[in-house]
Parts: sequence; structure tokens; C-alpha cells
Amino acid sequence: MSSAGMLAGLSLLVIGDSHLATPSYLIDALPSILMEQGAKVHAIGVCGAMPADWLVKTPGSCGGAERTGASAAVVMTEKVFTTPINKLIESERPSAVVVVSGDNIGSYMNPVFPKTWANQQVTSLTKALSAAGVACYWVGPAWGTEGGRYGKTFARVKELDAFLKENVSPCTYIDSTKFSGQGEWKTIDGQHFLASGYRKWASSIADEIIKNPPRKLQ
Amino acid sequence: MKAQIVSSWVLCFLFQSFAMAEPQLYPTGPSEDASYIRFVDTLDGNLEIRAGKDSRIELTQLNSSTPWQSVKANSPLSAGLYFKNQMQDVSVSVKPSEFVTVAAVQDVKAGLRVVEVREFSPDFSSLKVSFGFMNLVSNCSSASVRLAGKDVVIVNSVSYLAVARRMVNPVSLGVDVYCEDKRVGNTVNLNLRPGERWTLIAFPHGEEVGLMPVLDSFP
Repeated sequence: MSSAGMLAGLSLLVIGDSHLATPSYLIDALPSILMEQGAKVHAIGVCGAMPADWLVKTPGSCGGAERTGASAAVVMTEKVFTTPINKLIESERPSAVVVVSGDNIGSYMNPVFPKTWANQQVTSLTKALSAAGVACYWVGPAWGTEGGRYGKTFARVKELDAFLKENVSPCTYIDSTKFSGQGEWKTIDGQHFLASGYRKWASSIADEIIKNPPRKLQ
Repeated sequence: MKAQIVSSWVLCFLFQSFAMAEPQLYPTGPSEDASYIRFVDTLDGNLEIRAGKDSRIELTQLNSSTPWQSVKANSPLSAGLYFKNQMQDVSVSVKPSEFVTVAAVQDVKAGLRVVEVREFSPDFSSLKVSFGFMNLVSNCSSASVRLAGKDVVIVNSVSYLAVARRMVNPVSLGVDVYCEDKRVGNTVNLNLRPGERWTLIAFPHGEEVGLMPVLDSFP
């Protein structure tokens, strides 16, 4: 990684799915690495939240976590809801929003990827971000391992990655499949990595953000 | 005994820690793809669509298409279409991934005729433009769309009650419609922007063919 301070002066709002909803997952590693580079970070993970669920207050299905600055992530044990993205942007005025959302729209148990539904999910959030005029990044799924409890396969990850690459504009797409080989980062369930895997993922995401500084949307 | 109790407590603690660390199983997306329906008014006059007791939408010449509405797949959807003193009932079922357009068109004898056009979108892109052409003209057995004034075909061989769709670059352009090899209607000018989805509809209009560009929208 480049020398420290590459993200100094930036405030980043990171929202996403189960990868951000448990301490020792991405919610620990990613904000820490971004803060080492000088960014101010607020991260919120709502387990089970689909992209469009960030438009209106929507309940998650399996908990959540939140981390503000250097404080430890706080696990939300009561009924967890998303906060509408417009409300978050208005109150925090972030330099950029980082959306971690890929596995949650993969529909891994379905033999056919529901492209029409996925398109609506993704574009409703990107349109809201574009309307708010805030720079954004979309982090796609990493490979994971096959044969896990969620039915994740490399073929579906490839299809989902190609779909997101084509459909998340004007957000900058961060292709997580470039960061490792298939199955290289071990998982506990096919989808969620060990702490070491999350650190590598977080480091690669931070590198991409450094290489592609936030551009305010017109 | 004490060692066994301590071991049990340790096991309980470890089990609880693991349970807290492990996310609950949840489905990653729906079991089937989304389905959509919309209504289009190609008539000279307002069209009212009524579904159920209280749901009604009025389409006008300025607002001639409803947004796409997400509906439950494989479930019959009923509506009444009201135009002047005529009414027609429709019942439509939409498959997963399908987009169904229910259009009110002019009928020389009956005045109002309701037709359905079904399509499955081949792809989506926020970088390009999805351009579709829909043929509602019964005596136009094969329609095509070309760049205005040029022999460049955008879509070809679109039969009656069919739609052809392709990705194009986000540019401003004029297009002409042909029925067989005869040009119909005036040039339609479009200002295409990335991520948009358009449907150019050819419909019967008196003795001629009317052309209606619709910017597809979702709620």
C-alpha cells in the first residue's frame, strides 16, 4: 500500500450487508485501514439488507452493527433497521458513500440469476446517490468458497460481478474478484471470511479507493 | 466434578460466542425474478384504467404510459379499460423476468381494442441505452427502425405485436420507421442518456401510423 495519509480530509460512509454486520468481519478491518490513510469513517451493516432497502427505513433479517471512527463496532441486538440513505447523506455530508453489496443479491439458491429484480435493486440505490450528488463506490462480491451453506458458486460470482460492473454507474465499481484467486480466502460458510481474509479484502478495497479518489457526481 | 462444571461453562461460553459470530442463514435474493406490467394509451383521448375497487389511473396524450409496475408472477391481474363510452376487461398473467405492455389501440370497427405485448429484457446497463421498438400496427407485418436519412438499421423484422430491443450508445439521434420498405410517420428525435430504457411504439392512427417514444420508468 502507498504511504499513509492518502485519504486525509475525506469522510466516508460505508453501508452494506452481512459482511459489515459482525465484528471481526469487514466492519473491523475496512474502517481501520481507511482511517490509517487519514479518512473519517462511519460504517453501518444491516444483515440481509438489499440495496433498495436503503431508500426507506427497512428491517434487517439477522442483526447488524455500526462503527463510528476508531471506536469498536457496536453490535445491534434489538430489531435492526436501515436508515434511509438520503437521511444519512444529509446529516453526515460524506465525501463518498461506499456500498458493500453483492452476495446479498446473488440469489445463490436460485438456478437462474434474477437479473430484472437485481437491476431494480441496484439502480434504485445508484439513482438516489446520483440525485444526492455524492461520489460513490460499489464493492462487488469476492470469490468465497464453493459448497457452502448459501450455495455460492464461482460461476454465479462471475455472472454477478459482470452484472454489477455494467450496472452500478455512476458509482465506481470495485471488482473484488481481482483481489484473490477462486477459493483462496477461506470462509466459514462459503461466503463469510476468516478475519485474515477480511483484512486482505479491506486492504484491497482501500487501495482501489486511493487509486480512484472520489469524484462528485454532476 | 468441579472440572466438569467448568468445562460445561467453557463449552456454553464458546458455543454462545460462535453463535454470535456466525450470521443467521438468510436468502440472498428472491426465489424468482421480478415481473412487470404497464398500460399504454395510443388513442385520441383519455384512457382510464381501473383495477379492484379503488385503484384507477388516467392516461392522456401528454402522459400516455404508466410506469412499469412490479407484480406477482403467474398470478392473473384484472383491469377494466375505459375509453369514452366503451369498456374492455383484461386479464393478464406475467411470468418471472417478463415485461408485459397492455396497450389500448384504435380499431376501425370497434373503436377500442386492447392488445398485449410481452418481452424478456435481454440485458441491462447503466452505461448504455436500452432501445426497444414495439409494433402495434396490424397491417405492418415486418417493421424496422433505421437512423434518419441513413441506411443503418437499428432493429429489423419486427412483426405485429412484437418488440425488438438492443443496447445502443447514449447519443442524440433521429430515427425513421419502415413498414416493409415504406417509411411511415415522421422522424423521431431522441436524446439518449446512459442507463435509460426507451420503447418506440408504432400504432394505428387513422389511416396512418403514429409513432410514440416512451421513456420507460419504474416507481
